[in-house]
Amino acid sequence: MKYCERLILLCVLLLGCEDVFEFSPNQTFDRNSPVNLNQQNIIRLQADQTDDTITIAFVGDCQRFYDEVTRFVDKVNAIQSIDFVLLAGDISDFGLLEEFEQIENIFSRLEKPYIGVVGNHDVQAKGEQTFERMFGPVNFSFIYDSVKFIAHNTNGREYPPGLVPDMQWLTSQFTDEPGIKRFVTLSHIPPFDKDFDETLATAYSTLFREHHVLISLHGHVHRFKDGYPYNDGIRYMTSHSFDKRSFVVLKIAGNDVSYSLVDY
Amino acid sequence: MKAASLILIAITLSASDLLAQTRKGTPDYFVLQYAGSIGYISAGIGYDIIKSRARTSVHFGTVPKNQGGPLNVFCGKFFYIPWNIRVTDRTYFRPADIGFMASYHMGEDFKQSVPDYFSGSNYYWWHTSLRLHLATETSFSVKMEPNRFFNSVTGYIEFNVNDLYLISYISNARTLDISELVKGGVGARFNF
Repeated sequence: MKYCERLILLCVLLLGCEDVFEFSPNQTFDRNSPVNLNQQNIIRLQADQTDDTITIAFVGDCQRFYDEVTRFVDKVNAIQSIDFVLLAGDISDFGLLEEFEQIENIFSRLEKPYIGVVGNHDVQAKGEQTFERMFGPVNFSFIYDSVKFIAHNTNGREYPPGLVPDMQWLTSQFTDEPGIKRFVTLSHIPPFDKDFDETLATAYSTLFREHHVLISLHGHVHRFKDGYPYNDGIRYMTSHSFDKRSFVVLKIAGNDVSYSLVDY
Repeated sequence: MKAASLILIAITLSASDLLAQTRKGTPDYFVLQYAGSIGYISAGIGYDIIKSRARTSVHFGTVPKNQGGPLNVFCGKFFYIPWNIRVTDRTYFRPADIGFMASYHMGEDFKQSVPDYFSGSNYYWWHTSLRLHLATETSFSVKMEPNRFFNSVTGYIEFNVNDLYLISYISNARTLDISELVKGGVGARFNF
């Protein structure tokens, strides 16, 4: 019966291991899944001392680029002036819990907080529920150093037309509140991309113009671009994806926004 | 992915095809499993084939909401048995069966085909509903006394890795640890 005893012992040992027993690749959480990461990181960020300049490491689309994410984290940790990291969506490639957890495992080594927005790959299968539990709502905002950052879901092709982005929620975010001097928006798909819900693109860019958005930050296109696509004074910037091994260091000082590209 | 769908269908149909081959016309075993990527708990029926050098089975598993669901999973398995070691007159040890699994997630969140908008492109090249797995199993069987309802009972531990995890690992071998991507399950087979 020694084989039987060994088999039972093996089972008992494995039961104690983390995450060995998977119920489904599509399960939305396991007993070790982190929760509400964005809110936790926002609290960490807001507890930091602020100065006149906000310095952001801006990057997107880490989907299945784990080796590169590791290099990115090492590079960001070496730059002391960075206040926080903005991740412009497509955290996962297949919308699977294991992917979100592997990425979080690497990003948790960041010395500064990171805040992620949902991408179109993140909402595949049960990915949206997984994202919402692990990172928080797909539409959220926070204030840092008198700038209101409005992060939201623009993956319109994944939903019936007219629903995403949620224009009603977005409009409600542009309110005059004490302590807010400027608005910066963050979402995955930019409004000038074919994967943005075309029925909402005009209303979206008009809303940004009416509220003088300082800069609108996006991912999805996998390469850095900076410009004024609507010639309306509103600046849009897209980030490199992780395979490009280059991220944007964005500096916001009052109404001035400058950037540099950092290779890693 | 059409080929993958056909494999799934072939595995599931093979069980019914084998019906004619079985002496009693009934399945050779009933199986209950915990985890193993096909449900929090799953149940299935199967057949010993190729003179008990292999087995094939179909399973239905479910993940309740409080365990990361709700999810319903249909699964077909095929295992080859390279070694069947007789330990005592009534006990057998199978150290490393080698298998292939196809799991199918049911529900509107899972796409059987690429959405209309993406038709003709390889943008979403995988099917969210269908996962293919490589698997191994280690088991221990006990033959029961004559005239019992079951001829034998087998306890097993199974490990699998699915296609998407494997693809992720291959392009990130320096960072990802394969042992974290291999997932386990334990179960029991009751041979009639």
